[in-house]
Amino acid sequence: MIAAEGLCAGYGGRTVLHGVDLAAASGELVGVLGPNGAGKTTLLLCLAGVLRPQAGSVRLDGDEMWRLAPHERARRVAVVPQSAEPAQGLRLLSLVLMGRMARLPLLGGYGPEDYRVALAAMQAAGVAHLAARPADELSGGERQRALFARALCQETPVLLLDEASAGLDAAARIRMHDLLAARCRAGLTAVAVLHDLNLAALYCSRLVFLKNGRVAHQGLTADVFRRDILMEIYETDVDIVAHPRTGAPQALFAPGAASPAA
Amino acid sequence: MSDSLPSPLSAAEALHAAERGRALRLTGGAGLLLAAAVASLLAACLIGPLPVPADDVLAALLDLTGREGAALDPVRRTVVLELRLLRGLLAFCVGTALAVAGCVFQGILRNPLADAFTLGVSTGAACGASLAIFCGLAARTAFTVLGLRIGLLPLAGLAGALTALAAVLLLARAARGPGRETMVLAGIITATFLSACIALLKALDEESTASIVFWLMGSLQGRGGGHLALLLPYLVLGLALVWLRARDLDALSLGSLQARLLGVDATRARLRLLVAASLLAGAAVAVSGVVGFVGLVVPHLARRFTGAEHRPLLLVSGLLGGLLLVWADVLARSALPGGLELPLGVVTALLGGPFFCMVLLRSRRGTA
Repeated sequence: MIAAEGLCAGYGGRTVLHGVDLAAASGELVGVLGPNGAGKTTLLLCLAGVLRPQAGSVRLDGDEMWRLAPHERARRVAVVPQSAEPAQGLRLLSLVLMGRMARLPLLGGYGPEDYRVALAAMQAAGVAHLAARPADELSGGERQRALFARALCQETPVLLLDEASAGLDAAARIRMHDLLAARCRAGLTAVAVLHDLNLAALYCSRLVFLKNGRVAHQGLTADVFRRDILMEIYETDVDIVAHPRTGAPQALFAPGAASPAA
Repeated sequence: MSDSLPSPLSAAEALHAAERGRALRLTGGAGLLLAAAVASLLAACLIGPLPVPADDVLAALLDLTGREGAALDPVRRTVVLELRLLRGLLAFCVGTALAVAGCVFQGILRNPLADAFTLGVSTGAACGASLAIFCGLAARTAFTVLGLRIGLLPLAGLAGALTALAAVLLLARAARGPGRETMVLAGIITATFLSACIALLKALDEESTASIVFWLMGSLQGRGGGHLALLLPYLVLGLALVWLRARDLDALSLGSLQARLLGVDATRARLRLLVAASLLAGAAVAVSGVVGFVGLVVPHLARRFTGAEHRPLLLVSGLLGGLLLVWADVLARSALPGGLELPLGVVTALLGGPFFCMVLLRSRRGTA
């Protein structure tokens, strides 16, 4: 269980989040939605424990996140970042193995167990065939999947994703979220920042809508994925239809439906 | 991307075996480099303005190992052992220190143009060492460990190196320049200013202009065992610090945020590694003066063989840097007729300048 309570956070003197409450339990995939600049990435950095809250708290099973030792943090929470610029010539396998770094002793190297986990993670993310390629020469989508594999490699009970599937093609995106759903059924706690509303409605058990650094709405997907809420959050006219196969709500936008930007 | 796909144990074993094979090949390559370094040191004993026959060189080396050599001319013995062998070893150590420091600077600052020379760290170290000499502290012992007297001069180099590094990083941050060149520009400004400080110190000290040239262009003329003993403790300490934290360096080369996500205390790791690199560069410069381009060129060369992981990169860079400087010093002391010496920094700049242009052009294309 990872939970934020009355979380205020920001950079320097600027406050981005104003009192956010959010909780994700084992087996849940919680989607964080909201317009650009709503504070979604800031929220994720706080949940990951790399940004110290200005007020309020983020607790993982009762432990204050930002107080944890860095290597302890990385063994309990993994993050798939929006993007990363790997050093020139760094092989994909090396990038993925870095997920095991927090488990290594100061002098030791990667052992058989590390390679087993790394290979499984690369296979799961569909990048095992690229293991020996330099990561800086891969396409954006391939690199994104490598970062996903690195996070899986950390074998943490909590996984945070920041637009992790945004650069992927349709099939790869579905595969990544199918995998994520399967891991959640097996007990993983996941919080995903998403821009793709329909993907969120298909996969997330609960949704949190952020706007201007505050939680505007949150609840079960079926309860909060509504026309009035989406119109309020995105200031855009929208139609909700049922997915022809799963029945999940899906949002359709019409051209010219967005109100002019202020 | 199916979750139920069982990862066959044999495939993981094959991957592990392949990686071990890769590590073994890298170790083999490093062994070859080490052998080449030993061979180069021996070859360096044969080369110089004073012709010494191979027999006498061999006799001098045997004499060193304590065995009875044939009757040996003491001048030739000094030439071979002091002026060639120990000086060659010193060149190797300086090259190793500068190359490893270059790897660290490039990795942490994520800048292919970074190195002790381009960042002004070397000139800072030279300035610190000059100041210590000016104040008459050069021959002082800093502290004694296990009966070994550890010299003060490299510490003065370290202090100068850290001061220059702090100035450059603050200047680059304040200038908020768009790219990697801003940091190098800040380095050039700092280095130019500190060069003037060195020239001023030397002029006040009423030393010859030759000693100004020594500090600014680097040389190992007249240096041998004493300076080797001065450098070695700091070299060993710096290399050990960097080697222990090589994995932090891997993580930091992805950026500070990524490193923190991977469980590295980024602020402390950066500081620790920057101090270690400054120690290496500072101690090297304190005995050799400013020798440019080694720390810039060698990591790029080594990366072609090792990839970007830092443990193998540091190993190969260190050996390659030492090897390069042994030969650069042989050139420096034997290229001119009549026993005249070229400054070591002139040789490395002649070799490294064109390479620097190449790296600059490639990095610009990369960021465009």
